[in-house]
Amino acid sequence: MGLKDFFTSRFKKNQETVDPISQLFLSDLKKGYFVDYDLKSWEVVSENRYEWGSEDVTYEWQIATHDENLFLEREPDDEDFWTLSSKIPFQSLDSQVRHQLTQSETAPETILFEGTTYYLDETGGALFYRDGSQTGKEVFKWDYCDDSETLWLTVEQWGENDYELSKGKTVKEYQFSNILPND
Amino acid sequence: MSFFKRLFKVGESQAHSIVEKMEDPVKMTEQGIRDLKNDLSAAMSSLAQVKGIAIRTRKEADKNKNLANDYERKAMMLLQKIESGAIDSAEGERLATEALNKKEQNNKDAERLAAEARDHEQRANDLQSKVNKLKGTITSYENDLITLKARSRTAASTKKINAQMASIDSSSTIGMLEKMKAKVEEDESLAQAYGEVAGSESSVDSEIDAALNSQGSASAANSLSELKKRMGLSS
Repeated sequence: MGLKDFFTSRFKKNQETVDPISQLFLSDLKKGYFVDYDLKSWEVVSENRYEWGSEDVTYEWQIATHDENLFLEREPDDEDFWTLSSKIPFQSLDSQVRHQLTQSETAPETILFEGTTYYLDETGGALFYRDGSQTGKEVFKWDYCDDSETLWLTVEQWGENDYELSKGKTVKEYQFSNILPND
Repeated sequence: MSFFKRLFKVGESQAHSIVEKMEDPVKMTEQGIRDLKNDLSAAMSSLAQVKGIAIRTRKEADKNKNLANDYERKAMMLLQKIESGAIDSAEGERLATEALNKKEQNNKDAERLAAEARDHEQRANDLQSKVNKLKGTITSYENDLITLKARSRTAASTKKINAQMASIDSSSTIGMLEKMKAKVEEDESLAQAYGEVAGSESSVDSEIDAALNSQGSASAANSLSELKKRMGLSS
């Protein structure tokens, strides 16, 4: 190793921010990181946040494997609340429900979907920031959950007529392992 | 052994002795752990690359599989069109054959890529095990170092206290106390001697003073003389 290599390597080492031994938590995920879940390795492809108001933020990571894209969301409260969801076609909702969501002033209190009754849990508008962007995009959300609060159905409205539906479930941090930084 | 050889050996042993004195085992261990962490970082970086490659390769395999299915579907549609007379039979069959060739090619690519993906996934699993093992080892070393540092600090403090205690024994403090004790005893003896002398002097004086100041005994003497006169006795 030459003198130049020595100093170059030292300089590079000083720039490292993640101690490989330090316990990485799920909330430490960043774009490019890998995490194991459900016997598969997932790559974090985007790191987003929803700002509902001052100091009311939820964090979202889009994780992908070869054939699936999931959205991991963390809602900080007394303790972190984690959900994992995937996008499904808005059209899969009952047409009456869709009509009520898109045309009516009031959202339905319950939605029957795939044999499960979901109850309206919360609604609200937020600014969505993708990958640390400084410009937020307006979004309105309707969150529905089943009576055990483990299954979730979320409708998002982006703009005038753009609706997205996602189906999710409550997850626990221990279900994720081998968080791997990739700087 | 020649003189120069011996001289070299002496120099070598002195150099080793100096280096050994310079070596701080705690710092050396910390450096060792830092080096291990660098190795771990490199291994984790490689693991991230392998995992990324595995996911992308699997994705490519799936894509080729889907393409193969698409070409087969297209070949079937061409045959249906030939059947319905919508396209020329020869041209239709040529295109259908091309589509099936493409299907075969994509199937082969899909199989090759799936095998590659399996290799990468296997390698990623192996690397993950090694990374986890290395992490465990480093964590164990770090914990040992923390314990040893605490023990080293305790030992150093104990050594310091013991040295202080030892230095108290050999210092003049106890001697000084002994001297002081001797002096106090000497002073006490002297005081006692002075006291005794003062005591003897005071007994002589007190006898004289008592004799001189004794009113009671003088009047008794006068009474005795008067009684002797009345009885006609000489004094």
